[in-house]
Amino acid sequence: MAESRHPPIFPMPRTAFVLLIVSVTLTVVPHIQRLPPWLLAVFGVVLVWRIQVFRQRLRFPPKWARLFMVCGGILGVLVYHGTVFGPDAGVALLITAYLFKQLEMYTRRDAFLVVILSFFVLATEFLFSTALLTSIYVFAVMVVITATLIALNMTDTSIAVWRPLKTALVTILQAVPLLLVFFFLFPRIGPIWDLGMKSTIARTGLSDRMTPGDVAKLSQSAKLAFRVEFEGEIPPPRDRYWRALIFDRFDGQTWSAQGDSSNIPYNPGYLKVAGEPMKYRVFLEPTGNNWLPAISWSELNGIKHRTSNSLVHYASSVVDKPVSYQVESYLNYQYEMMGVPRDLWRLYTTLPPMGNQRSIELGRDLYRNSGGDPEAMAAAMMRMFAEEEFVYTLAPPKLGSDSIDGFLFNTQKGFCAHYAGAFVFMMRAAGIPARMIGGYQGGEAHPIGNYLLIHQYDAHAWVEFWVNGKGWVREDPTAAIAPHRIELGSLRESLDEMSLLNSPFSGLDLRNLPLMGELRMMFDYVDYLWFKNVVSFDSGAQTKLFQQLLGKVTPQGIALLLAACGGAVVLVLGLWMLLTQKRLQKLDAADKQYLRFLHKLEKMGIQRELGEGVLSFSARVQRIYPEHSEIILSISELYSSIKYSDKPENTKQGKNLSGKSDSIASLKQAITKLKL
Amino acid sequence: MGYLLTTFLLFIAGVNYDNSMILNFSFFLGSLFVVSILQTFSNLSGMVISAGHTEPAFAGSEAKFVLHLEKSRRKDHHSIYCSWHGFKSKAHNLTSDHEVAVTCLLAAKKRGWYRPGRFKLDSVYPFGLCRAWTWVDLDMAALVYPQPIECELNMSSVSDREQEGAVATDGHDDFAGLRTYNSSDSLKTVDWKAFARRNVLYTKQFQGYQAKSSWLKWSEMHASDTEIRLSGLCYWVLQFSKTNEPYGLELPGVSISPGIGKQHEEACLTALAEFDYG
Repeated sequence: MAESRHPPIFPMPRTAFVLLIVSVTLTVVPHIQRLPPWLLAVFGVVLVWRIQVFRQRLRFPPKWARLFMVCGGILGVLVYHGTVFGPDAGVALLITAYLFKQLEMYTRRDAFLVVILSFFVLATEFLFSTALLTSIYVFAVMVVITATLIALNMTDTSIAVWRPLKTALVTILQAVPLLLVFFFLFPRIGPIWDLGMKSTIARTGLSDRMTPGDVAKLSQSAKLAFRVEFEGEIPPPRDRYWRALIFDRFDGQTWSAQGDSSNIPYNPGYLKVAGEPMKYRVFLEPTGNNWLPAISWSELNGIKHRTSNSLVHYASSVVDKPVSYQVESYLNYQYEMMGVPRDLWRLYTTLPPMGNQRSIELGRDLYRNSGGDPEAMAAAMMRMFAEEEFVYTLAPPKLGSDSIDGFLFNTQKGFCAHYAGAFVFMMRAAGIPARMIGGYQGGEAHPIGNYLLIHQYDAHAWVEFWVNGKGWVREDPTAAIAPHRIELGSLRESLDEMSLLNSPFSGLDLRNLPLMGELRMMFDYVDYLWFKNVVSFDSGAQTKLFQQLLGKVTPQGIALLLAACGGAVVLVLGLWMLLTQKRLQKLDAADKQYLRFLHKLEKMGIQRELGEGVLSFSARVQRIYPEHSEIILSISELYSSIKYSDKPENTKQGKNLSGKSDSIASLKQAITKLKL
Repeated sequence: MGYLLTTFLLFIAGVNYDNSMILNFSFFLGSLFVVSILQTFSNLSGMVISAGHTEPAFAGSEAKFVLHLEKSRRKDHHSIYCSWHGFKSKAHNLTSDHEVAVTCLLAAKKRGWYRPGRFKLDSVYPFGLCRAWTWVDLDMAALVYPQPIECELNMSSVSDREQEGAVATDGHDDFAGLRTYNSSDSLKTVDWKAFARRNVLYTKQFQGYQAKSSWLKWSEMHASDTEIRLSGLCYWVLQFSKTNEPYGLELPGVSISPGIGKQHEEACLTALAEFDYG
């Protein structure tokens, strides 16, 4: 009875089934870490069930059960993610539907739909990563899915699994030239509507709140923060201060950069630049924030952004995928040299209402002793850090409620944020506008490519204070303690042995093995090239290309170029496909001669009947023309000997070929001679 | 359709998420689609299609047409279907075989030479996204015999008896003796008892008397309609063949003297099929 309710399942070829199961698995696997755990269980159950159905041990679940499972799945995703919107929940929903569709594969159409869905699910992997490895993986899985599609259309059951795989690979390779045309020439348009892409993946990186202790954790991450490709020489480490954040508020414990200074746009009128700019391109890894690190003063191109009064750039949308932008940096610049707006002045001189009394007094003393000159006071503080027993460490002791006092007068151990914090605090105590800058410093030059790698452990904090007539001046208090760090440009060398032993430097440990380090660098280079040339090929790069190719960019020009290149590729491909096969339809010389013979007879009203053999036809004609009997017989015999007995001769060369052409010549002669 | 929809959706997604890799993926699917058109065409092209034999049929049944597909030198041809006058063949593959025969069973409606004209070869391989097809006319023809319709045979038509007593071997009336087994002999006639005794196969021979020799005559069929007359004659040709009785056929302008056997039957049926009155 149940049999009649279920439509008959179309007989899927074994090859197609194996490929389908592999496709489904490979498609879902990269998403696993982001999926709700119960979905993995569903994944396993569905696969086993599907295989059992194929082995005819089980039936597909009935319709009500499928409906129930799909509703359960949607609810499950809703509960797990709290929403059905956004990439994570969206992909989870898609995969839920995709998995349950496996249990409803009655017709060829259903199987086809699963294959198409596989393509879709596979493509969503790019929402989360566009790295080279991901792309290679996606390409490989694409071959398998395409092979599945091919296997579904194969009816030859004896065919081995590798055959559709090979056909798929060949087809995909044939598609590559056209893909390149599309890639370069298909107009890139901006987003049509805002999808509110919000990723829930935690990103490591700078934080906009810094309680000394945070940066230590950050320093231990060997993850890549960004890459920088310079147009000329890579500048020395002391010029490589990549500003990203302004910590302008201090509550006694925590420096925060949620600040007011970032909301005020910068005033071009207050800026004065000199000298030649340094040109480079930044390839920023996803941060989950808006900051765009650059060396100040800088002008950004190639990304939508705004620039705040603190000369920091903010992207218009959260950087949740790799982006790149062009920068022109003027190292020699002055800003607000004539004065700081009143409310900002208040912001940059504000101290927490209480605490750290000794530091406040020290600051005021130093200011007085320097004769009210901020720069002299800065120099005095730097001397103090250098001459007293200050130690640079990534594992500083804990500080009490008066953290600045505790650092300056008790522990005297800390890292960049401690020194920068104490510096800014004392400056503000003396009434000088000062702020802590968060960003990256230094970076590692890549041995092969002309670019710089900036890792999360290059995160750094330094200060800027305001000098009347000069504007904002940079000072790096950490330089007083560990000057070689600033000079060498990397944290690695400046780590004291203690902290290196104590901390789980996963990334840094790898760096100590020379071979691994080299491999890592090689891979980074390839990944960088991939990102630079492929992933970040955008409308800007395309416009440049169009300008080179067309001169003047017009929609008609682009359409024409696209059509011409696409057409040319398709034409070449088509010709190649058809010309590599032997043309069998062509008449050979003997056929031509024989047709002449038939034509002659036709004129006399004698037609060769349908299916009449050469020799029987010849016999019939001989009866009609007994006087030409001999010649007609010889024509027929020559023709049939050329046509039907030369097959083994074909394999031999030379002599037989000439023999064949001889007999064609005599055939021709005989036919010419025949006069009816 | 689903494929192109997916390509389009991914394109929109790529544009909206500003994700160049998803965009590239959709370009890839698009390129694959274009290549699949060429591939599908290429799958069908290069084959050599030739006419095979045909088998005659009775009107109202199916005539058999055999086509031969021969593979081109460098490539395989997959999943090729042939449709012809409402007939749709199963899928044929030219992969391991160099040549396949496609058997088409076409409904033969009318007596005479049946020329179904052009047939269609089509394939959706490799992706099932598009279909390539070709019309081929090999000018094939099959003979369609009249539909055998049972009718009363006018006894007077059974006439012109030949001399009685002519003996036909291979009859089935009387046992005449044994002879050694011939591979073409029916197993029914093997003398199994003799086989059990001597382990040699013998064929039992029977004799029949070619007693009656009947004439099937057009002029003596009752029906007025040509086709029904022919159908009746056809029925009796088959009947006589079945009982292995000699018969002759007489149509206006055609006369086939009495005989038996497959060839004789075929000659009669052909005459009936090709008969053109007036």
